Amino acid sequence: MVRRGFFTASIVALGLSSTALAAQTDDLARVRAAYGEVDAARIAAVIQRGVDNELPRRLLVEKALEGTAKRMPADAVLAAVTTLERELRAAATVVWPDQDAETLEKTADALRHGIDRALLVELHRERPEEFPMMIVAIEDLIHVGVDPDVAEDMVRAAATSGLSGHETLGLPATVRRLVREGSTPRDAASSVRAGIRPGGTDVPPSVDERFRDVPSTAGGRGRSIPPIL
Amino acid sequence: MNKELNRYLDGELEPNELSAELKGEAEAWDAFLTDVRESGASEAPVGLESMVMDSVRAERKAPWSRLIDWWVNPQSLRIRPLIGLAAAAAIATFFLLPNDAVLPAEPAGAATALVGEEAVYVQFVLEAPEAQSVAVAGDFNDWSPDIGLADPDGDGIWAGRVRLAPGVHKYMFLVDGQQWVTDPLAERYTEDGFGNRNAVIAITGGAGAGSLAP
Repeated sequence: MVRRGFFTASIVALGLSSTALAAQTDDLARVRAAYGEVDAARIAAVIQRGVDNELPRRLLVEKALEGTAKRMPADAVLAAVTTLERELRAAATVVWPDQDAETLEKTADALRHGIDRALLVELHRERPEEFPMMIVAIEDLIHVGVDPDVAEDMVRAAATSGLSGHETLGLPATVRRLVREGSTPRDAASSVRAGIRPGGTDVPPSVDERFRDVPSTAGGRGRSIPPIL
Repeated sequence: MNKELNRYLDGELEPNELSAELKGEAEAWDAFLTDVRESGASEAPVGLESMVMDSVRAERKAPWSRLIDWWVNPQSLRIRPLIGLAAAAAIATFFLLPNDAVLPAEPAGAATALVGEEAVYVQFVLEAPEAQSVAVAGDFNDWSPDIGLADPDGDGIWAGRVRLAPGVHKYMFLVDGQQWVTDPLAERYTEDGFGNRNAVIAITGGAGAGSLAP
């Protein structure tokens, strides 16, 4: 019985370890094929440094693959991965001990765009699961023309009121619509801010404005042909 | 053995706490134990302990030696055929599959990872009248330009539907396999770190506790 157990455990351990090893070695195969072993090793070293710093390997590998797909020079890929590793490390200090890849990535974006670090800490503490969408909402509001302070206040209110990421993402969409209808960004933001309240059930658009629902073969949502059509 | 009887023999229960059914059995056990005690069981012979321990030490080998023995000597293994077949199939699958299968390069790979989760079908569209081919690539497919868009009616509007997980995704279009193009109609963009901009799409899940006033 013991021998059989040992044998089974050995097979399982061998399978798991070889699968994990293969996955890690294969995920940079395209990078090696494009740039050769030497440059790929330099890139892999930066990725490993990130992993050693408890950053999600996937994000760093993705950046390397992105640069490879876009046929960037090896040095450019190395620089981009290095920059991302540094930004993610800074982001990790904001949301620590959360190591969710999307959270770290959006935190890095937010810091790069100058969003207040204290606000990031507060939003993440308040609504960690909705945090990435809240960052997107702040960025969208600023992009529409809303003052950063007002944008941050709106999203803070959304977090306090229990709006989901789904609903929070509706804030900039609504502001954008009001601006298109003639309001100034300030007035539009003020109107939308006044409408944020806890406990309701109305749901603003769930995805980008132009991503309207279309029938789907598998029950999911889709987006429509954009305005160009 | 009955739990109540076990507790009685351990001294945790009194005889009068046992059911009538167990009392008879308890008395039989008591009689047996009395016989054992009265049979004159004596102390172990002098030196028995050291003899036993010497014997055990003589047979015991170092862990590394036992491990080598396990690998070198023939072993009798009993394995359920079903488990053996499953293990063999798993190993064969791992070695026979192409390397690309390790990572989800196809949208189908991403879809596979979404079993049990909410997913959204997103239709990507690009107007490119001169293009011979258009693909979309992003962080959802490891930037493999293998999700081709279609232009069946030849009007220069290329479209394709991709199943994505809720979250924030970055993407670009690849025209004619060479030219990377940022979606001109995206709601938002982010620097790609290579001097260009990726389009960004945010896909959310369900509603929360709050709302926007109408």
